[in-house]
Amino acid sequence: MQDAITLDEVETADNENLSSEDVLPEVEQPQPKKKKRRRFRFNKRKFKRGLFIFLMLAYPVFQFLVMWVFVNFDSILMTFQKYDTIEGWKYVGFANYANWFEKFKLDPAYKIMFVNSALHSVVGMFIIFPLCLVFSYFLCRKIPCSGFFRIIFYLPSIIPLVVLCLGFTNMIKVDGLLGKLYEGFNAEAPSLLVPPKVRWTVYAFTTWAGIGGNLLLLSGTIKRVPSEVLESARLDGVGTMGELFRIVIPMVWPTLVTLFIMSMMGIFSVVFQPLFLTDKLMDETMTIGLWIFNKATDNSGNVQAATLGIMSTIVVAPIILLTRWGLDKAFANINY
Amino acid sequence: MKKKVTAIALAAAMCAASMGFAACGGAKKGENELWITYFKGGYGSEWVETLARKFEEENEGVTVRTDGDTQLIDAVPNMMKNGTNYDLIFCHDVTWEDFVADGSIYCLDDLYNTEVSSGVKFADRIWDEDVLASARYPDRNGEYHYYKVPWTIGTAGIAYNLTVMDRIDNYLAKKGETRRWNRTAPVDYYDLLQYCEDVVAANLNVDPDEPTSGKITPFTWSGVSEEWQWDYVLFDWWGQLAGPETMNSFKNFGNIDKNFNLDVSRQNNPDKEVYNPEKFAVVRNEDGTVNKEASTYVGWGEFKQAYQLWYDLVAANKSWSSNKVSNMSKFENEQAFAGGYAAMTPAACWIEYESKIYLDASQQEVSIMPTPIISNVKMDANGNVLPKDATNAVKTLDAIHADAGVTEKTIQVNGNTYNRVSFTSSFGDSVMIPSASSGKDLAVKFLLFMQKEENAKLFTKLSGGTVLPYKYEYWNSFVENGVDKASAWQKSIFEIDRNSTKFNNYTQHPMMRKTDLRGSARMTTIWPTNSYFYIKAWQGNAPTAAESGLVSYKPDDLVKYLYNNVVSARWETYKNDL
Repeated sequence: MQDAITLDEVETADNENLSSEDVLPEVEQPQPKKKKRRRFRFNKRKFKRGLFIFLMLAYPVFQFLVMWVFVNFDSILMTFQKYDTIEGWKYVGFANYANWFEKFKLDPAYKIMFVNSALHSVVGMFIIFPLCLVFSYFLCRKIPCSGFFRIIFYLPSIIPLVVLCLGFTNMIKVDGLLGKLYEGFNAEAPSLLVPPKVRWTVYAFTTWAGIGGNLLLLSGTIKRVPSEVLESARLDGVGTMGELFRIVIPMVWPTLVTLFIMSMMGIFSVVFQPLFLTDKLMDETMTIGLWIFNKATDNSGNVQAATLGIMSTIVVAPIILLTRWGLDKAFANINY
Repeated sequence: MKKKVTAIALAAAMCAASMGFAACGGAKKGENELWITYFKGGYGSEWVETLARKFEEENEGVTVRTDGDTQLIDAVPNMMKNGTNYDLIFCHDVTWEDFVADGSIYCLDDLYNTEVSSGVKFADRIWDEDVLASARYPDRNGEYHYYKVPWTIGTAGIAYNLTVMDRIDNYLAKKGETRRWNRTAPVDYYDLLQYCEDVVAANLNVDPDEPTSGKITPFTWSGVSEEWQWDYVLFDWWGQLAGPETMNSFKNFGNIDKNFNLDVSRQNNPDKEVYNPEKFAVVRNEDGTVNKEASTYVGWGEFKQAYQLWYDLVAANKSWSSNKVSNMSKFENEQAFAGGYAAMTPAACWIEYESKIYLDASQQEVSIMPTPIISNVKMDANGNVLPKDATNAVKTLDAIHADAGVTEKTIQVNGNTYNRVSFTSSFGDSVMIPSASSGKDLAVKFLLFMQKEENAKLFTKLSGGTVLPYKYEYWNSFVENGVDKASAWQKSIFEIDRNSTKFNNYTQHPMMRKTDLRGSARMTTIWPTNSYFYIKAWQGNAPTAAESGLVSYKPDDLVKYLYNNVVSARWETYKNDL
């Protein structure tokens, strides 16, 4: 079979064969193609689809722009201003931040506020979250009455907070259910809604009411762990705790990390619980969120609240991001 | 088909969700509509409904819409700044001054200059100069303008259960003693102590037929959310010992002019010595009157004495208060008082109306006493109150005696003539017109209508005895066919208002309005940073971690802590907030 010849070889051969006297017939050079103007065709289907997507996204995007972007931008701007009821708004630079540091140094109530908030975060991370994980795991193992327990645990998450707090206080107050129990033993019930015990009462409440929040999510995630893996592990003699710590947790790690990070947000998310439980503002139960809520009643208060919010974010955000980065490193190679 | 149905369902869901954007309450239908919103609370709704109908009758073609809101105070800032259909807002504890700089509150200068009758302007109809001054605020040029109309003149004191008092008297009669009280309130401090002792000695069951119903105690109060009502008593005692002038000086941080009003030129230099418990604001003459030349009206010494009197009455006698005080909410307390569980409770004028359902259920009768006079109260070296007949007194507390020849607003007790003072509660109640209102003329007209004698009386009658801040014969509001149908409570309120020099805790001093020293609605509070100590003092627990430096809640320790650790230590940060 004749070897294929390359284009170069053909060219070379052609060039060799041609002499100066050879006149090549004129070859009509191909004209560059003119771009055909496309006639616009209204694609009704595409338009409808685009319109639908736009409408579906318009509201959430609008919400985001107004409720997040504008609000945060305005809040940051506010921290550099002061409001005078006669003069109106005026810029004061970093004076609000400087004043905040001074207040923090001089007023022990502010220190307690930060400690309370931090402790709520700790309770969320190291008490509520582990309890939630353990309960979710056992519920997924179909323990007797698991359906009933699932409802009981989740109930506090769907009942309005005011109702929940009312029920809780009626249970524990001196003339409530707890009081009746103590009466039965001829003893005086402790006052759990006044200092110094009220602080621990609030932690107890957030623990009791907080377990169900992530229960459904974790249960769903744990259920997705392939049953073959679990069966295989059991055949290999892995016990319950081993199954939980060596198989389930690594396999649902990404979800656990997300929920753990959200637990850290307990530093800001405990707002109304102390107020609804005790019916008053107390230094002993004050949190950052509640303080901001209480302050933000007028322009001067808004400035102070915004300043605290920004300062807290500056401190807490790097910690959370760092924690997330660190936790993501663990079990990174496990997926299914 | 399936996709169409899905799309329609989604669109419907979005429409339903976007209903939240719809303006609540609809829009006005015409120019002749007046919309009024009011705080729905202790004054009820009957007054505004009745006045609205009457206004409609007198103004043909005008329609008045009234909307009550128990949470109005939270909605007002948004309404003022972002617009509202309402033309008139009646609300308590509103910081209306915030709306002046941005122009969202309507200026009422024209209203106050309106002639309401021959030679009498609206401004002349206002209760007194002090109340009138509270309605104006300076603009950027320092000129004062009117921006609100005060809503009520509140009265406070100690509410007492007349039915319980009758039972105490019955007990005394059974013992062979004379009926000591006969529905007459204790007049001085020792009388008050005596009444408490009588209640305790009587040891009466709440329900005479039910031994397990509990014992009647001298006091009930809400330690959960309303302990601040003891401030009413404390303000009165402080006013008795130091005079209303000292209150004016205190709330203005000593920056006052010769009329004891705020001196704006000095307000950037507040004097923290107003909180100094070692300084006494007034110097007394031999006859118990005030030496006006020697008095600085700056100091907290008299306040410490007033708090000592409270401490010895309530905190030092723990069993004199219901054992449920720590856990009682506001309404539980009103229910307990109205149900005869206690003889007395600190209160203000709206409590009777607010407790109406409980009083109707229990069929008990209540009244309110003016805060008893401090008359020759004996004290030992530690400032503790001694019995009336004690001979080892180191000091004697006595209210300010009336100047010679003064007979108005005085009271005779134990052979002495004292100045009679009364703290005005609910001074933060305000009536405002938003700048965004489309019915300002009608709103102004309604305010002019409301101040008329017959309409002001109608308000008083229908709100359970609350007094408007106008000059009118409120004490005749319940007179029908020559018969005064006012309750004992209402009669007492009127008597206190007519015969006392009223003083209030409203201030425009920026130190009290802008800093953490302030009280609720930025009114003056006795207690720096609006922290209350009544329930803690009564419980007798140790101070909390937040009160680092406080030894105990006893008067001496507490006021020293407040002056040194709260006020003085943080003074510069407060000034930075100005």
